[in-house]
This record gives sequence, structure tokens and C-alpha cells, in this order.
Amino acid sequence: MYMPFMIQIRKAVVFAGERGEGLQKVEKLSIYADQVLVIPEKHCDYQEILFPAGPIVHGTEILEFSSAKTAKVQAKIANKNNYKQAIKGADFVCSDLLDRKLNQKIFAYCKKKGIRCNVIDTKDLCDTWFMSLIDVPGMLVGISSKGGCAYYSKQSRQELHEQIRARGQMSLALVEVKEFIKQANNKMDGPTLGLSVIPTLAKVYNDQTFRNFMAREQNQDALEYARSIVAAPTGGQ
Amino acid sequence: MHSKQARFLLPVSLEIDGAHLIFVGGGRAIERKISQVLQLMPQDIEASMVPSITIVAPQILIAIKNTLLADQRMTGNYNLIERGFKPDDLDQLLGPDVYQLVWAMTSDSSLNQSIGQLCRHKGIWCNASGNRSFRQGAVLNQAGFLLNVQSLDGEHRLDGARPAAAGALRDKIKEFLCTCPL
Repeated sequence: MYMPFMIQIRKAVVFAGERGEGLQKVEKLSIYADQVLVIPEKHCDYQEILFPAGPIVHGTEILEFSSAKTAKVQAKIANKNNYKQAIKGADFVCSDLLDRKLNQKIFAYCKKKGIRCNVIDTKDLCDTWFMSLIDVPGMLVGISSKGGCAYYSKQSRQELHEQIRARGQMSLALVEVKEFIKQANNKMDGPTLGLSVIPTLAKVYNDQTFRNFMAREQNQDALEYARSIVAAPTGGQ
Repeated sequence: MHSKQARFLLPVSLEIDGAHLIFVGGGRAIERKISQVLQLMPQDIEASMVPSITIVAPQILIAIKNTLLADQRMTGNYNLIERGFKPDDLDQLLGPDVYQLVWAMTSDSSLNQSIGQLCRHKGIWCNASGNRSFRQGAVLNQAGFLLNVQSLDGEHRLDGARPAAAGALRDKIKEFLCTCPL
């Protein structure tokens, strides 16, 4: 049984194998986790991996770093003697090591410690799955194929992206409109004159002119227009 | 603005087979969360895979009790503790080698916060208002699909302050998935 959640990751540990998929996960996790530690499969000269601000170039999702971030690289390579120490303090572990026995040990140890774990392409060593993301201003959507066809969830994500981007903009605009309503209420004399938030938001949201501005991405014009609706003598109601 | 929960969170799909789900509080919010869990649970789930549910609250809505009672999958898999939460409850309730998730949604926000801190200290994921290490968004459980939608604030961080917007988008996506030709 699967449940989708949004999780806070303070420390993610990635055992990065030679296939390179682990490094893609490092990139993704570096956006969402406070701290990412990379344990390489083979010796690596880097002490950290720097991700500059901007879009992720290699991924299939449209994701970006809002500011530069780094992932630390552990000097020691992954082996059966040091994986426990590396995992210490983690709340999420990901591995794409080729060594199945070591992956099994990592998964068993994580389960014992209550740490969520994903061994890439190894369903029996996973209790947590990455979702295909649509991350746009105002909205974050995760899509999972429930262990089925990941290709289909990716395709759907691409088709949905544009619609969700527009909805994210609308969501952000309505936050601003809520502020207008608050301001309008503060200006009024008594609480009985206050505007109800939901009906006023609905009035703005359903207004065709407002929607036309939003559809043309004239967000500032849309907000000015919304302000005028809220400030009207009927308060948009 | 929105500093109370200004953290990035990653959408993931968690396996909760046999997990222990602890709900502190017995009101409408807990009712919704439990309904969501039951909706996501396959009808033909193996008995050993059913997550166990514990609710701790001085008063538990009759609707929650009825829901659990009526669901045959939950027979023998839930526990109602009708009293206030005690700090050592987590130690008593939590077992070894089992994933646990805690929801603290009482009407006492300071209690919710302290449960959140306690869980954080113990390394347990907790959804407590003001101290969340996980969130549930608007969920769509469709054949072949699991979808989670969350609203973000202006600084592109999860705030969850507009569940209606997330729910509306979820419904639109559902419409899209149901009507869009393959």
C-alpha cells in the first residue's frame, strides 16, 4: 500500500554507483533536502558537488535550483564497513550501488532505524519512491505510477505541466487577492462590514476579465483589476 | 510571511504496509486523515499488510469510530485510547522494526507542537501543526496513478495554506486523466 506524502529531508545520503543514476538523485535531492552526503562507489577526487542556480540540465523534469547548492562527497568509498557511519543522522537514503549484498545491508539497516530507503531499480529494497514532479510557482505536484509504468507517469507529467503552471500562477494571484481583502476589511469601520474571504475570492476567480488577464499572463493587470473588484462598494459580493 | 512552515518538502510515495499510524486527536481533521488512509488501502489487501491505527484523544468523534468499525480490513487493526496524550505514549506505542507516522491534530496547538518536537527528537516522522516533517496534500488515487498536489507560497516553499487550490487542481488533473485520449 502506497501513500503519497511531502517529506522534509534534513539529511539525505546517496550511495552513488558507477551507473550515474545516483548522481541524478543527488541533483534532485539537493533541491529539496537541507543536506546531501554522497558516498561514491569508486574513489572520487571531489569533496563536494556544486549545483549552480538555474535549471537542471540533464533531468527529464523541469526543475531548477533557486540558489546554488552543494552536496558533500565522502572521502571513503562505500563498503560494508562504513555504511552505518555514513547513514547516521539521515532521514532518507538512496543507493544505486551495483553490489546487491551491500544494498541489502543498507536497506535492512535503514528499516531497523526507521530511515526511509530507495535502492534504484530494485523494488524489493525500496519503501520509498520518488515521484515525477511538476514544480512550478504556486504549485508542486508529484505523480507516481504506483510501481507500474514510470514512462506513462512521465508522459502525463509533460502533458500536464503547462496546465499546472497556469494554475500555479492563479494560486499565487489569489494569495495576493486575499491580502487585498484583508486590507479592505481593515479599512472598514466595524466587523459587520467585513468582506467574507471565500465569496470575494470566488467573485474574483470567476470574473472573466480577471481570467483573461491571467490567461495572457498579464498578472499585474489582473491584480490591479482584482483590487478594483475588492474595493468596489459592494466589496465584490 | 509563511515562515511557520517555510521548508522545502519532497513529494514521495511511501510504502506503509504494516506501518503503525498514530493519530493524536479525535476531531474532524483526524477523521479526514483516516478516511484518506482507508481510501488508499486496496480492498483486497493482505491482512499482514494492513497498517495499524492508534488514536489517542479524550474524545473521539463517533464518525471515526463508526468508520473504523465498519471497515472489515481494520478489524483487529485499530486501537482507541480515550484519554489525553502523555509524553511517554510514544515509547509505549512504538514498536521496533516498524515504520511509524504520527499525526498530532488536537485543538491544543502547544500540545501539537510539543508532540512534533518529541517525534523529531526520536527521529519519527510527524505531521503536527507548526512542526511538520511530512504533509499530505490533495491526493488522487486513480488506477495506475498516485498524485499529490500541494500549494506553494510566493517564495516557492510549501505552505499548504490553500488546500482548496490544491484540491481544485487535483480535480482538474483527474478530469484531464479521465478524458484525455491516450
